[in-house]
Amino acid sequence: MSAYVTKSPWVVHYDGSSCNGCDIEVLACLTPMYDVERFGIINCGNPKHADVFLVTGSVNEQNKDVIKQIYEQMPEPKVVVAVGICACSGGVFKDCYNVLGGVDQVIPVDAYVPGCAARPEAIIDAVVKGLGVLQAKRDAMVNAPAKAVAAPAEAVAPVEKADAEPVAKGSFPPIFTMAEIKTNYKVSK
Amino acid sequence: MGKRTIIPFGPQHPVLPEPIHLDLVVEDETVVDVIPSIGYIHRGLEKLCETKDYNKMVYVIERICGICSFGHGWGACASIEGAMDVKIPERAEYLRTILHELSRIHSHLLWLGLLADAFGFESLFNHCWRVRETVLDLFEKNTGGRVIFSICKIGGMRKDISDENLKEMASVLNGIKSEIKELTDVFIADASVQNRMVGVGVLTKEQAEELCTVGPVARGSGIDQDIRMNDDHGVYGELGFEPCIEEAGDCMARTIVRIRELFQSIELIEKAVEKIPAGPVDVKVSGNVNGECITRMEQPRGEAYYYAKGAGTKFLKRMRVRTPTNMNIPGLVQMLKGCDLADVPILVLTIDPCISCTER
Amino acid sequence: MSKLVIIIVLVVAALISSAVTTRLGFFKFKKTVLGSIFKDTACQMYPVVQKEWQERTRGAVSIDGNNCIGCGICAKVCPTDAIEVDKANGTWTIERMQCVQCSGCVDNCPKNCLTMENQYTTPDVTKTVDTVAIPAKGAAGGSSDGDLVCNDTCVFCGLCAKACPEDAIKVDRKAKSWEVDKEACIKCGACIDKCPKKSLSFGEGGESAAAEDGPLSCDLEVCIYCGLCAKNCPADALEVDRKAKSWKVDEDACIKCGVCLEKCPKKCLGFGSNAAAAEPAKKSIPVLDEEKCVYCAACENACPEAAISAEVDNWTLDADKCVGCEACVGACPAVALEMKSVD
Repeated sequence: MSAYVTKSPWVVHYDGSSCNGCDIEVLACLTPMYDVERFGIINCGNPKHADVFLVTGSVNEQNKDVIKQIYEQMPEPKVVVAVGICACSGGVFKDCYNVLGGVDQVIPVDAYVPGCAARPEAIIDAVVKGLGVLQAKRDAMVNAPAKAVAAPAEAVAPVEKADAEPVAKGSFPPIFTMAEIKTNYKVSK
Repeated sequence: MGKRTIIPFGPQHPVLPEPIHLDLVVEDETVVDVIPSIGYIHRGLEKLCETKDYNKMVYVIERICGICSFGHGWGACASIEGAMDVKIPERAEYLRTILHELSRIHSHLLWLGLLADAFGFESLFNHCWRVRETVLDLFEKNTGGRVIFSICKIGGMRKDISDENLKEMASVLNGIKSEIKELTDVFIADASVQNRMVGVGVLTKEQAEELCTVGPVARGSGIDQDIRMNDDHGVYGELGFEPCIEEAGDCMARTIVRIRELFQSIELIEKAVEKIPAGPVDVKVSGNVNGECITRMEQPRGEAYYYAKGAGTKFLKRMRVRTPTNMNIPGLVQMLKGCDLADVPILVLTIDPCISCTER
Repeated sequence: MSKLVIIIVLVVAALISSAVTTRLGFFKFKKTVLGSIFKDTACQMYPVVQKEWQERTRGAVSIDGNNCIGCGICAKVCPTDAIEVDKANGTWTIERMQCVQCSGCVDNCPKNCLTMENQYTTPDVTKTVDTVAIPAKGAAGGSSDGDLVCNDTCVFCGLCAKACPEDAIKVDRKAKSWEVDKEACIKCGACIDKCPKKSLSFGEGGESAAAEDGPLSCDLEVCIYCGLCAKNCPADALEVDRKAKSWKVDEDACIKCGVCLEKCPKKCLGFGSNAAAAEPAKKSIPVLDEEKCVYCAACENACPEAAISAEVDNWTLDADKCVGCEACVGACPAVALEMKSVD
């Protein structure tokens, strides 16, 4: 159901060479002060259950495969949020010999969160922005069913931004009719 | 003899926020051996000292770890100041000590929350972190940041903290003492928690000495060692300080050590706020680093040392940091041998691992 | 009736279970849990309720473009190279997704045009880069085209080289050379502020101050050979011998900084023609107040010319030998001596 995918997005969080600052701020979002569980966001540990991939820290030689594997295991539609400037572009460690750069060197990123360490408020803002992108991706999947079975593997080179525009808040498309559900169900099998 | 299998633990798992990979050799639900594999967070930042001048290096070293960030900033500044023979004012030493103890409080509260989460006690995790937010508000008010403070510079502190703010800090900490006491009582006395922690992961005193463990892991096994006793950094000598030692060597002992240190830090801050002298908080520093210096510091996780060497240019020749978790990993491997598979997350957490410190 | 019994039973059961659980250590957490049922939520309800910032919260850097002189110190100090200053085109650019909010740029800006705002940069789907216009090339504080130049009032004291954040100036006092590395110079103006002779400027040389012609000279009739000029000379160019009554200057070493002029108590020094303008001071000799004198002979020991003889009840001064250096006045413990002019 397209209307509900943004209502309770589940999050998987991975730390790729971060200093832990952004990770504890991500965990702080779950604690009573900021409490994203109000929005139905759960930090599940399993990539196959998740809609949003929160990555902190830059990419180095050892964890680039791990990040790609987690990304590939996530079901479509999915959104990647790069939390903190290390994930955006390498941060202070940009020139280090073991650092390849930000997360967008390996997987496509949908929202960038600045800050060192990124504030929980900024992370919440970014997840909300990411949800707009998620909604748009879901719409694209619904409207072009043939695309839904495309292989999710991406190239290693920096990937261009998704060209779908974020859907305006409140303008959710109508729920499927029975006929549509039957058609979609047939195609995605 | 049961069949042996190897179970990979990490790098992505819900318990631990950091990537560490352990290959657990398991025989019928009992772990017999552990092969750790680290390197996911290695950034190679010590080499940046060749391309970033010594002022910028302080920002880099601060970001080795977000939890023990203040300690790293202090250690980097202290070692470079030692190499340049710069003596910082008394008020700056007091401010650094106060903020370091505040950092210890936030780190131990964070750890208590993660430990509770590891044995499934999610509401306790949430309450610990809720109380920790009060401490983070204090940090933000005084230094401008919640996690990375950027307040230590070579020569002292970048900003002064007014006496009213310090007194407010002491009174806020006094106010949350009773809340912290309620939470820590649960760790110590609740039967379900005791079931999971007493007698689990025992590290005897001989083993701890042989494996060179540091910090609360060593103090939980009866070793009387705390770098703050040496009084070569900060003003601990003037505040009167005794390390917290426990004899049992199991998870519960290490937890009690950290809880006692939490309350001790609140007392140290209250004493320091009363005694802090007035005066400047920095001295002007110019010129290049020519010489070397080692500073040892008691981080929340144990002993860390910082070595800075300069050769007369504005770039340091070498900046080396040895962090406490580096020394505790052999202790972890020893503890894991013979434990149940279900206890592995708790044992990994009980050394308070900071993998980003270890790997830099 | 039965309801009352049920209530009493429930209350007693609650009390007993509470006592039992506390003793046995079961559910020790109940106090906090029950408390949080009745207390207000700790949640700050972001984003419905906006966060109130603390005074020192570091969010994002902002610049007052009009006051920027394009010196580039902020770009040099930035640990992540997030800032780029293009003086030729008049732009100041910051990559928001690179800034660590360390406030290094804010602290080091010589014109204080950078501020650390409390509000953080909004997260975005692309990497935000902000560009602000700054005055191109000729900014407030420097002349239009110009490299840094130093005019001939320069005394090679080297203070400009010390003030330079880029180490772009090289001054050799002995060789009397001053040079600037034009590529390293970022035109921040710190040296211009520091120069005691106001010899530095951008573009054409500034107006010279009254040129000190001529070498250093001393009016020997006034000079008391106290040696203060030699002690304070930064170039060790002066040699004064009190006993031999000689005063010598090494003109090659003299850097004409003028410190000796300031220190001389008799104002007998000057450059070239200026020395003649000094007033010849009247000679003065010490006079004793005999009631205070204790005949300790401290004045006799202090006098470099051996002009005093401090015998008991017979204190004498040889006025011809006396040079008026006032050493005896300083040495007298009873404050019995006072200088009076001869006329």
